Amino acid sequence: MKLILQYIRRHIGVFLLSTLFLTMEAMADLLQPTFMSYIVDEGVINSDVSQILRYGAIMLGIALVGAFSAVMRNRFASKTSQAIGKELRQDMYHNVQMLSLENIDRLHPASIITRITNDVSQIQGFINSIMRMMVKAPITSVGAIALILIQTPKQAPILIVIILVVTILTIANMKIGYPRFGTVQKRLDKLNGVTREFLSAVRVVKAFNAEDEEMEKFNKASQELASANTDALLILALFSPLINLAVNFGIVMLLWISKNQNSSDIGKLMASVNYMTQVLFAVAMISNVINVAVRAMASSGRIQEVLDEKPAQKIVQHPLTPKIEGNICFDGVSFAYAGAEREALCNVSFTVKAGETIGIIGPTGSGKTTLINLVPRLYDASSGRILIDGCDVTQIDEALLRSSVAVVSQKALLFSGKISDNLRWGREDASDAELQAAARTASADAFIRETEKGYDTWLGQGGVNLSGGQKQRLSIARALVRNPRVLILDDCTSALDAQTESSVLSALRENSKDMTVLLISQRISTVMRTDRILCLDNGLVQGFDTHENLMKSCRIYQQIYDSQIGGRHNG
Amino acid sequence: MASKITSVPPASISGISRPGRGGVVVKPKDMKGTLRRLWQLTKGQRRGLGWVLLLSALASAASIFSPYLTGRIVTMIVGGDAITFVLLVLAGLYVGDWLIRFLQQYLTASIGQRIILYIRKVLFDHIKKLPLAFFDRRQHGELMSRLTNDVDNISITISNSLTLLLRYIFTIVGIFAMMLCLSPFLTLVSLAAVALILLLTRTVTKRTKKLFSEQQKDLGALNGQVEESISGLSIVKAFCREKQMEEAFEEKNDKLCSISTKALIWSGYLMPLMNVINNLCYVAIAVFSGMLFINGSISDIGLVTSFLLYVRQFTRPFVEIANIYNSFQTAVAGAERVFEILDEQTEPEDRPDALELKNPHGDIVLNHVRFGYNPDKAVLKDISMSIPAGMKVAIVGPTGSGKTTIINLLARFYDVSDGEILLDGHDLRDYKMKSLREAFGVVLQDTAMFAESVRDNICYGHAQASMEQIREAARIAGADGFIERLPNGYDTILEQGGDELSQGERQLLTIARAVLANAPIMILDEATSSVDTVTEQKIRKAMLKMCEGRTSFIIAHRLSTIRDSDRIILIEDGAIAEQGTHDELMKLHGKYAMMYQTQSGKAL
Repeated sequence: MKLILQYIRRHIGVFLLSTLFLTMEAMADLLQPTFMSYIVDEGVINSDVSQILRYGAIMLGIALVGAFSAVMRNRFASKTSQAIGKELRQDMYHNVQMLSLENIDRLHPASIITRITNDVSQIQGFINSIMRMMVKAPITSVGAIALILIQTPKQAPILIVIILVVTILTIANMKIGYPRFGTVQKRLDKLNGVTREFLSAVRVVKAFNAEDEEMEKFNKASQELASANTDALLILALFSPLINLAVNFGIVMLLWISKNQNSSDIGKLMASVNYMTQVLFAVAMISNVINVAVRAMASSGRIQEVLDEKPAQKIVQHPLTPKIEGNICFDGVSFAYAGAEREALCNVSFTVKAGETIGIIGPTGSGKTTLINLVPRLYDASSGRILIDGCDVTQIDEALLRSSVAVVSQKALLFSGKISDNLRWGREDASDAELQAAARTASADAFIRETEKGYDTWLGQGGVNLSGGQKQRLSIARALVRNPRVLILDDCTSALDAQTESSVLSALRENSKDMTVLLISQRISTVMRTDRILCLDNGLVQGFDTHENLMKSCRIYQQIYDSQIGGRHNG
Repeated sequence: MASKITSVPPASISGISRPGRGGVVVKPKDMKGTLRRLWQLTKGQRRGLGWVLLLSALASAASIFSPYLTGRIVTMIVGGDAITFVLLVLAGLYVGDWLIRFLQQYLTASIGQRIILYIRKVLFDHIKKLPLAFFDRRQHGELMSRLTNDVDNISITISNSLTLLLRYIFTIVGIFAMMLCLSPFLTLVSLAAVALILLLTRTVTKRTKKLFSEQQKDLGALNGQVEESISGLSIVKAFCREKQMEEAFEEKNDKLCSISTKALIWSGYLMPLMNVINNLCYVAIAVFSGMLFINGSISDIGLVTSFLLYVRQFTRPFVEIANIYNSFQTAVAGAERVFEILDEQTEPEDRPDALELKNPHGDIVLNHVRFGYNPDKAVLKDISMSIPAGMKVAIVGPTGSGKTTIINLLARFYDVSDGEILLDGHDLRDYKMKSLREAFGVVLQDTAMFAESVRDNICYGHAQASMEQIREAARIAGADGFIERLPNGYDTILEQGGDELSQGERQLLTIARAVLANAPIMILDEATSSVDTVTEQKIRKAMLKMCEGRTSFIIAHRLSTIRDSDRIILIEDGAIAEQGTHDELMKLHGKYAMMYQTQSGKAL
């Protein structure tokens, strides 16, 4: 709630203006029956045409004022709610861009996305409906009661009783209804879960002839959902006509106590009946708004969480801007992911000279990717230091650091846009010739040219129209365009067949003579040809040497070699 | 304005938000045909539906008669007559209205749910029979939304729209008749208001329709941008693209904001303007009827009251009907999407003379097999091979060469486009599908697990297996070790559908699953690089053990795994390039030899 208020405060002028118009709108609605009663009581009963016309003109005037107010209110409310939505999205997006990956891991990317999209629309809807209804309902209720009190005071008790009854019914409806709709949501999730499972395992289902079992599971979940739904809808079917009945009975009672009404006051009776219905609408509105409000509260909590998140990495006040050559030194580095019990890296120390090519190998989960993520500061070490050319990476200007270190990650992430746009991520001002050179090195040039529009081919979100191997080659090219001092390749050739892989790697070697290259691979044949190999296991350095020396000294390395290449060692 | 109450927005009552004024309307392609098919799906619920429709027609009674009664009461009060009886009638009318509404809403809900249940059942029953090609082509998220959301929306919107539509039509007709009886002249005045309102609605929705569909497009663009930039944030950061991303976001955000403000403002004009017309009409009626009363054309003040009440609720149903029709159209279009799936061709039924495959031997022959996932692009071009029972076959080749396709054809996930595959001398298509699939034990690359116990996951498809058999299967697969270390052993529930296990552990479980199936022919699609080498060796051992004495096909990505196979088949570009034992192929110094050397790092 505080969050919503805070954003409303930014638009307080327009918000108040819209509330003012809303009040005028409500008043206009309230005044109509009063003047109608004057037409009846003073004009019709007394057969006075001029009175009828006079009050008719006044009613018309009020109607126009009401309409004008409604139009203005609508303009202001629409503008404000959309503007607040826009600002919320902007602020969240900005904050998320500033966050470290550690924060993102904690919040989960998928969850952040729904917060920016769905949760913001909830809030937008809520703000719009406050400015439409929330204020109007109390004004109408209070106004109607006041007018009845003034004109026909003896009807007031009935009105108050009816309002009370309707309020109680509305509250009871929500109290009983909400948990049931909660159940519906849970059962719906379950049904979705069963369906998702079936769809993602459909090959297995078919291979094991288990279609009927899956059908049974699905039908059970579907049955449960249907009965929960029927339950919840029963409550609605029970209460909403009941609320109608209460108000209708109010009208009957009104007529009953007015049975001895002076005939000259008949217009006032008609007016009271009208007020009754206006109050009912007001109450119905409130229960609608409460519905929206409950969801908006939950959303605002989730949004607040994103806005409150502070980047986990510290920003240096006076960053260093050394000339980066590519000497890398890990000095007693340990690292643990947020919430993890075990350290992913444990006291890792090694030094790489500029221009060296280092292979990194080790079983899954041994810390290879974690290790290379520390170099461009995607994460910060929990303890120890990483030095590039003698400077601690946490002290180096972030833009400089990241423009000198290029990462090709395991998962080839491309973005919607032209192929050339994607490659220019590496360097904005790269010429076409440079793009092509990089693509050639990554063995991507040929297939790019085969596409209809070549480098101008439009890629869908995530590069959906490319194969896995093509995506990997493009992401390698993207890193090469950057012409970095340090190139990190994180098992990024896994989708390539052996021949393509080896041609990419040899082209890389030729074109990156003075680059420092860190090369992660699962294939020992790939890392064997590097200058030195870092062998990791369980976050510990098991060996850091040439292939020949590791074959002699490092047991894990030997094991990996045997399992992949086998030969005589296998026995 | 007593009976105005009867038009408390029904949408809020049923708790379902309809696409309101100017929301995006999707037009159905074939309204009539789709409705006819929908009608067929209501079988068994028709009597109930009839009641619902009858009740919703009756629900208009209160709106039609209560203003008249209220007017009568007013007249009687003015005349000083006793009103008790008429008041009781009015009260009775309201109670009746309450009962009818309750019954109608309850029946609508329960019948609607039963129809949903039935449609879902029919839909799933159909989906489970669809060939794999269908699932490979469709996005899962989209299919899921058809099974859940679309079905819900169809039934709820259609039953709600139908009931409301009926009620409103009856209301309009009834009120019109009442008004005509009371005063034809005043009726004419109110008809003018209706005409004005319809004209206004038309003008406004014409404008908003375009705005709303533009808004939808801009929203889609914004969501897409958020999705890709946040799920790819590590790359954004590594390439220092935060600023550019934010600029792109800002641009899309601004665009969305301005278009949706416009759409909202325009659609928001409708209500106040309608109100003006309504009020205008109200004033006109008040003035005219007052004058008619004075000059004696109308003798009854109650009539004026009734008429004022009628006018207030006469215009609304006209606008509502337009809205309901729009949401009805959208729902029918949704139904079309569901029917689209029901129209998908299922896997071919077994031929009437199909053979039951009993104790198969395991001789497999491929005769000039051709296949393409789409007709104009052949993946397999003329593959022939003859595998005697008990042979261990390894299939190797570069990515995209068609290795996995061979598996898809063997297990009859797909049917050959041309040529034939024979098992024990008969075409695969001559066997009953169920018995054929029982003959194959399959270990696939994707290690699909179910959110059930480890035991249920192992005996998947063989629910009758005993605990001993399950343990034995796990032991052969080498999975017993880690299973026993799980908190509840074999009874541990894989709450996250197997995500709590490592890739290697999942692989071992799928092997155990195939072991338990105890099929005479084994098909193994070797996992790619995601498993570490030590686990990989374990898996390899388990696979070899399982293949003993059976015809087996291993799709290998690493050549070191398959050196001991009886026959190695090298597929390249959809055709067999080389085949023989490892030693034979090495002596050939051909492509296999080269691949082998590249992989073991001995060349270059």
